Amino acid sequence: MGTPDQTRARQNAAEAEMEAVVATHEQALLRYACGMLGDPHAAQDAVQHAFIKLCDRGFPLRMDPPAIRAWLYRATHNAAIDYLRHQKRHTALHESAAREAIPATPPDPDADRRQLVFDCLHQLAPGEQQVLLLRLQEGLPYKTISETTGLPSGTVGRLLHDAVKKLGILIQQAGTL
Amino acid sequence: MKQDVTENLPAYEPVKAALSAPSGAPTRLSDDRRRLILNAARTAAGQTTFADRLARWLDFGVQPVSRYAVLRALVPVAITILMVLGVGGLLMPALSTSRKHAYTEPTLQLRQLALREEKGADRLIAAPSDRPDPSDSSYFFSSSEVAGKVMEETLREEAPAAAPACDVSESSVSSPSVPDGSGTIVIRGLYSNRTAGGRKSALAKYGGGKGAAEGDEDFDGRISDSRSAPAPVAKQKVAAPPAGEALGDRVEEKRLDRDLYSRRKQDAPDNQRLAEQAKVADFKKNQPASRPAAEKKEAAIGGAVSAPSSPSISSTLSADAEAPAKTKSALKPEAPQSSTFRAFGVNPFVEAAQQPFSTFSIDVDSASYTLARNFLNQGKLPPAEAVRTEEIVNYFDYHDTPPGQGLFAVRSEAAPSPFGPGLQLLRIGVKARRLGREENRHAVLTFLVDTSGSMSTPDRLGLIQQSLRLLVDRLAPEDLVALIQFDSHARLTLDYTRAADKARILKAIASIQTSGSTNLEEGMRLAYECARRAFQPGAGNRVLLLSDGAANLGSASAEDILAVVADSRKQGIFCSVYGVGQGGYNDVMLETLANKGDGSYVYLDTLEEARRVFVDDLAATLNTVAADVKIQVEFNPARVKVYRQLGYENRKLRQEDFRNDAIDAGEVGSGQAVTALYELSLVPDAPRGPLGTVRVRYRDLATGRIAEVESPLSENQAQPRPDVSGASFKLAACAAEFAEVLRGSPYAEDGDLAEVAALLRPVALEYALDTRVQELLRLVEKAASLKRDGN
Repeated sequence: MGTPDQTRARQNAAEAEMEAVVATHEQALLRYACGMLGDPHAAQDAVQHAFIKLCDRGFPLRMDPPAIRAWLYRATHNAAIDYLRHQKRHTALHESAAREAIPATPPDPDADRRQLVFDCLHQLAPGEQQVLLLRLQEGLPYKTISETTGLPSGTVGRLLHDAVKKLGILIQQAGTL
Repeated sequence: MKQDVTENLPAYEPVKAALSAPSGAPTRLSDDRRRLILNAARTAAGQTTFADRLARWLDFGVQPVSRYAVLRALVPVAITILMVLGVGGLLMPALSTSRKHAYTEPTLQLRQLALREEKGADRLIAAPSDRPDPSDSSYFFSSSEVAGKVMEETLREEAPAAAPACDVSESSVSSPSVPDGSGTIVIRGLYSNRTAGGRKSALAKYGGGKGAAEGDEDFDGRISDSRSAPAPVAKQKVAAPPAGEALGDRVEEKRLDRDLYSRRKQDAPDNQRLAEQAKVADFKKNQPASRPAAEKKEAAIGGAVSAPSSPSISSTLSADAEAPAKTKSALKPEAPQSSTFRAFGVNPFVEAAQQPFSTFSIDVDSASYTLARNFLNQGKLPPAEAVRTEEIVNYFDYHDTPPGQGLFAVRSEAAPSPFGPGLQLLRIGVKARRLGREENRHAVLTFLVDTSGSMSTPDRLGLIQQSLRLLVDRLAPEDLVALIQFDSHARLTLDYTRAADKARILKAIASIQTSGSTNLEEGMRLAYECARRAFQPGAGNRVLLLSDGAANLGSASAEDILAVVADSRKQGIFCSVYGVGQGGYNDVMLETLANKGDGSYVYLDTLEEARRVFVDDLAATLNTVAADVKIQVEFNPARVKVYRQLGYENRKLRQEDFRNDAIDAGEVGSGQAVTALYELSLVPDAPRGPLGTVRVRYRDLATGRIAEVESPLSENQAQPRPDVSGASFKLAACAAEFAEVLRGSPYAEDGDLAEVAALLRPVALEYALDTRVQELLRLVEKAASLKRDGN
C-alpha cells in the first residue's frame, strides 16, 4: 500500500494523532482507573491497554472527540475489570493481612475518609462503580456515560441513584463501626 | 427527575467530594508506556494492507492483534459480493418485465375478459372498474335481482336509442350489480342532450314566451325532486314496475344511481376495486343470464326511450347542486386508465328583466386549452367535459391596455356575433397591472412532485423535471425552494434552499424517482406544513403541485384534501397546480384543488408550454396581485333582452355573494388578463343607453384592502358590423366558438369549425407574431377535419 515514503508519512501522522489523544485523555483515564482499581500501577496498565486497543482500530481515527472519549472510558473500564478478575484470587487472600501489616502512615483525616469511600465503592457492583465514577469523579454528562456503558440514559440515572444510595448506607455502616 | 432525586440523597455530596478530591492517582502515563502506545500506533498505521492484517491475525506478525481488524477488512468484500449477487438476482426479472407493464397487467386481463364478454353480448360489456361496493346498503338494496333486471332492460333500451344522437362523447355507467345476479352493465353513447334546433331554436325557446328563469325553475324543481330521497328511489325499483310504465322516471333513477355511485366509487380504494373487478368479470363469464327474453322486451319499448336525450331530462344528471343550469353530463366513471373530467353544463340564456345580474369568480387558468391541444395533436377530439370555454378564451392575449392607475382596467366591446346571427357578442376584458421589477416579492416555493408509479413516463416526470429546471433557472437568488415528493408516502427531499444554491436544487430535482401509489393527501399535508413553517409574510408563499391527479391512497376527494390544509391556506399560502400526462389524468381533482385552493391550474403538455408558464409568464405565475376577484355584470333590461355567458359554468356566484368578502374567488397574477364573453339579444328599436355595468371586486394583496372598480358598457362600444370589429374581438369570438363546438354546447349545434377557421385566418395574419394565434388556427383546422372524418 503505497511507497515507503507514504507509509512513513502515514505512520508519523498516526503517531502525532495518538500523541494528541493520549495527552488529552490520560489524566482523566488514569484517575478513573485508579478509582476503579485503587492501584496506580494497575491503573497505568489498564489505560495503556485502552490506548493500544484504540490504535488497533486503525488510522486516521474515524471518530469525533466525544466518541473517542466514551470509547476510551469503556476500554479502560473493560481492562480494569479484566485486571480485577485476574487479581481477585490473589488479592482476596492477602488483602486483609496486608492492610493490617502496613500501618496507616499519615494520620490524615481527609485521606482516611477518602480511603473509606473508595473501600465502600469497591464493594459495589462493577457497573455501579463505573457509573458513579464517571458521573461523580469525572463529571461526565449522562449522554457520554450512556455511550460509554451502552445503557440508555434513563438506566444510567437509575443505576447512579441506586449506587449513591447503597454507598451512603455502606459508608454509614463503616463509619459507625 | 432521577437526577434530582439522586443529587438530593444525603450520601451524594460527601461521595462526590471524596471522589473528585485530588487523589494519589498518577496524572501522566509513564514514558515507557507512552512509547509503547505510540509504537503501536505506528505499527497499526504501517499495516493497512489486507495481507498485513491477515499475517498479524495468523500470528506471523510481531504482535497479536484483534481479529476484528481482519474481519473488518473482510466484511466489505463479502457485502460487495452479496450485493452484486442479490441485486443481479432481483434486477433480472424486473428488467425483463418493465414496471409499467407489471402495473397494468391485472387491468389488461380484466379488459380482455370484458372484451370477450362484449363479443358474446353485443352492447353489454362488463366494466369491471365500475363495480360498486356491495357493503353499501343503498346499493345492496337497489340491486335485488328484480331491480337488476329492470335496470338491464332500461339500459339496453337506451343504448341504441341514444347512440346516434351522440357524437360528442361517451359516458359509461354501470348499474349496481346484483350480488348473486345479473352483473354489471355499461351503456355507451348515453351522453347527449343537444337540442334539436341549435342556437336559433334555443333562442326562440328562451327568448320567446317562456322566460329563461322559468326554465331554470323547472330545472331546479327536477333536481330537488330527484335528489330528495335516494333510498325511496331504490325501493321503487325493487317493486319492479311493469316494463312499459314510467320509463322516464326510471331513466332518472338510474342516472341518479349512477351519480351516487360515481361518487362513492371515488371513495373506494383501488385495490379493493380491482379485486372486485376480477370477481365481477369471473362471474359474468360463468353466467350468461336470460338475455333473449330481455331483448324482446327491449324491442317493445324501443321508441319510448329516445326521450331521455332531451335537455330537460338530461339536466337531472347533475346531482351536484353546485352545477349551474343545463348540465349535460354528470360524473364520468373513471376506468383505471381513463381520465376523469367533469362537465358543468352550459350556461343558458337568461332574461335580463328577470335576472339582470351575472356574477362570477374570475378564472385565469388555461389548462383546458392545453389539454384540448394535447388531444388534438394526437389526432383525437378532446372529450367534451375537458373543454371549458373560459379557459380556452383566456389562453390568448387580447392586447387590452393595462391600467393607468389602480390595479385593474376594464374594457368592453360589443359587436354583432360572427357566429350567432341576430345576436351581439359582448367581450369584457379585465387586465391587472403588471408589477414593476422592484415590486416583485421574493418567492418561497414548495415543489410538491407526484412520484407515484403512474408518473414514470417521460411526458410526466420527465417533463416535470425539465420544467422545474427552467423555473429554478429563472428564480431570484434570494428565493427559497423546497422539494417534496410523494408516492405512497410524502418526504421532504430538499429543505428550503436559496435559489442561489442552484446546483443543490438541480441535484435534488434530478434525483427524483418514481414508485408506489399516489397519496396526494399526505403530500399536500406535508407540503402545507413545510410551507407554513417557512412562511414569510410579504413574500409569495406558494405550493406548486405537479401531478397527474390520479390519487389512490389517502383521501381522493379534493374537498377533503383541502379541508386538511384549510388552516394553512388561510394564512396566505397559494397553490398552483400543474397537470401532466394523458391516460389516467384526473382533471376534476386538479381543477378543484386549484379553484378552491387559491391558485391557478395549468396543464403542461409540452416543454414549450412549460417555458411559457415558467419563463415567459413567470412574474404572473409567482406574483399574485389580487385575490378573491369577482366580476359582476349588470345588464340594462331596457337594452338587453336576453343574455348568455360563454363559459365560467363552475365559477358562477350568487348575486348577493359579490359583496360577501368571505366567499372564495379567483386570484389574478401580475399583468394577467381575463376575458368574459356574453351573447346578447338586444331589445329592438330601444332608445340609446348603456348596455349595462361591469364591476370588479377584489382584495389587493399589497395592501390587503378590498376594492371595487366599475365601468359602464356604453353604447358607443358596440360596433355596428362584425367585419369592422377589431382583431382581438374576432379572436375572442373564434376561440369561444371553437370551445363551444368542441364541448358540444347546444347553442353551437349548427356551429361549423370551418367557418371559425375562415374567420380566424385574417386574424392570424394580423397577429403574425403571436404563435398562439397561429397555433389556434392550426388546431381549429385539425379539429374541423377530425370532426368531418368522425361524422
